[in-house]
Amino acid sequence: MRKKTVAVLLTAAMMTGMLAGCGNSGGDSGKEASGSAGKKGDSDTLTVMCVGTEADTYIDAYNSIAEKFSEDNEYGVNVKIDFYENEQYKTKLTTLMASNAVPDVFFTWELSYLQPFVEGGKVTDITSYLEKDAEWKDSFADGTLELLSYDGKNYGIPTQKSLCVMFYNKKIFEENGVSVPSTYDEFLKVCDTLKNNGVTPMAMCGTDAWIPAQFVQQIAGGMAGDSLFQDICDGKEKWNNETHVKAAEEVKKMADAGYFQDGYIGMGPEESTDLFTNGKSAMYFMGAWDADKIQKSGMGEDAGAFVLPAYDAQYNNISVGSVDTSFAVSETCKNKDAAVAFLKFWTSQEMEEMLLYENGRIPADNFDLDTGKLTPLMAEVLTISNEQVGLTPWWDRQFGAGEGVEFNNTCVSVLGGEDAEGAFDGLQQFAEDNADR
Amino acid sequence: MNKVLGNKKSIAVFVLPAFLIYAVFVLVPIGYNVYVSFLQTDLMSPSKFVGIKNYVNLFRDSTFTGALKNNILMVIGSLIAHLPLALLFGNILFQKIKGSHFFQTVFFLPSVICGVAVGLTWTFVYNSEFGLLNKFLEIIGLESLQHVWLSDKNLALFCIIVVVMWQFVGYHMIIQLAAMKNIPSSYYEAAEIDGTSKWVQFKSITFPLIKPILKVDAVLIITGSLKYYDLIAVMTGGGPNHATELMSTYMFYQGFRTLKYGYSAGIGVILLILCMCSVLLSNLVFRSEPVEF
Repeated sequence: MRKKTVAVLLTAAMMTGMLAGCGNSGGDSGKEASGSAGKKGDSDTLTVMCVGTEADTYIDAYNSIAEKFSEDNEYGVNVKIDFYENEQYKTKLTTLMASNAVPDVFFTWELSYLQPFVEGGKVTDITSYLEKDAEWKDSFADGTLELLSYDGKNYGIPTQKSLCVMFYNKKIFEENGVSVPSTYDEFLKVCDTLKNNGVTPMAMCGTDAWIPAQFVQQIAGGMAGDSLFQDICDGKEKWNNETHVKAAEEVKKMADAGYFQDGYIGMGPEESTDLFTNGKSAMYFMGAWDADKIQKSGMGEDAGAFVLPAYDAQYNNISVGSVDTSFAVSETCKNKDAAVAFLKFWTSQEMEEMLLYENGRIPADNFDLDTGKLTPLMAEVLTISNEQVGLTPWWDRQFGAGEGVEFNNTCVSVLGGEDAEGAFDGLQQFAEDNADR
Repeated sequence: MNKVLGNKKSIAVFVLPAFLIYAVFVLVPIGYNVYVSFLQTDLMSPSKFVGIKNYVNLFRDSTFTGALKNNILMVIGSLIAHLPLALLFGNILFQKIKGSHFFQTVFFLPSVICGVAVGLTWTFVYNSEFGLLNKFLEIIGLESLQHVWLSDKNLALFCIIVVVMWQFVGYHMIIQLAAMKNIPSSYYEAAEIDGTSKWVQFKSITFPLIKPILKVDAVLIITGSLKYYDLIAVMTGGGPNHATELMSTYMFYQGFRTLKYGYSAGIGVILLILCMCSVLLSNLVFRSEPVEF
């Protein structure tokens, strides 16, 4: 009897271990299967791997692009897009890259994200395709293709542009008698007035480090212009330069003055977006990709956008921004012509217009717009986008997971109370050490 | 049958399949990992042999040393909860008290739940705005103790260690309880006739006789908390600013995010060495004679 109890107890203990194991790996393997199913299918299927979840309104639009292309194309291919959640996507892509099993076309970020894959010979050089079709090549806005070029060769096609804007609630602004600021001091005054009237001036999220970091980067750009960005990229300027320290301290000052909501440091991006769309905060600094979500949230006409006035007025209209939702063709793709044709179809005026008018995605190519079809918020965002004289890509796109992510972490730790100078000294030290790892 | 099993060759035939699987999935990857740790590589471009440079860099990397420190705290926290505390609970339930079966199940329950679900649940508990913990502090009038638990770099790790303690205390309690139930009750009857107290019974009968199991359990606890991953990944992702980074999460970050696979393999090797040391250490601490009942 005793032995039996022991056996039962121990079996129970063992089962827990197994259950826990199954719980995790089971989920993974399920996705694995759906991911590779497309690859193993007939050779006429073009598999595309993309970032997105059911919660993202754009995935229907992307799927419809794939459907339309599949219906009628000279290569007779069927396009199938697999969507993965952002973090999961990054892990999956790096694993597939190392094992040479990347789908035909894959979503990528620009600059340092794609670079190691290009250097590892995993990405198709599409320069010749662009050369052959000058009309297509010229349709891209200035400087967008360059963000996905390495050694003068093109490896990726940007389908969208994006930049950071300050969304604001027109109704709250009106009620409190403030208007869109045109100088940095005015901006601080607006925050102050709102705060004194008991309104949370800005929604901010502290759990995702890149969100406060893009705000710091925007302010730093307004202090020293886009030459600061270039100098850091070229190694002429260090990470712990005064501007970074000053910009981080500036954001910390805003936090201490209560310009962000209480407890923002522990809030996720959904909570802070909701705070803004529910009219509980007056402003929200975010990438233009959220315009669609904000527009469709029920704020409707109340939503507006402006560009944050620069700290030093001579650097007005320099924003954090870059291309977005870029795609590259893998070296292992069997039907490269079809893959490129699909990307050409995606970046055609018809498709880009659909994405812009219905999903608020700013196209990466230049074409005449029918402004009447735009939602008011999108029209404002587009005007801002056209007014920018300089765009500096997010640090974590320029430098990837190394210095870029550490920049984000550094900004959060300054907000968490760490001395700004010491924190950025640490970042510089990291950058020097990381070169050698 | 005995004849068959006496033959060394036939033993080999029986053992071989298991050994092959073990070799392919455990030994070979470990060997390959050690090899990769001497390279500077992203597994795509040509790799460069750098000798022990990865290890030298690791110990100069403040994030890694921080992660190592966090792991040691995690080991200490788990040891406290999963040896003395689990032993206490186990011993209470071992006494013939009413409802001991019910409590066994209750204590054991958290370890049946998948780690991700536990992580999400506790993220809500710790949430600074609507979390149970802060609400509770508000109700009892201790607002001054409210914190943004998981985003405070001094507190976040301890918050997670508490969850780990809670999650697995029942699991280790069951293992220890099983060992206790294996002890013949005649020993206790004899002790009772001699008029010993419960404490003496525990000290002189229970503890020495479950020592071999405690040894195994200690190994499980230490290695488990050295390679701990899931709650950190779900609750903080190693943040804020690497304050809750453990070796395993940092290994993932360096490998799959920054593509420094050599560097990340180095962390893996250090983890392996630490786990092996922990086995030796537990053997030393819980040295005991084999017991036969």
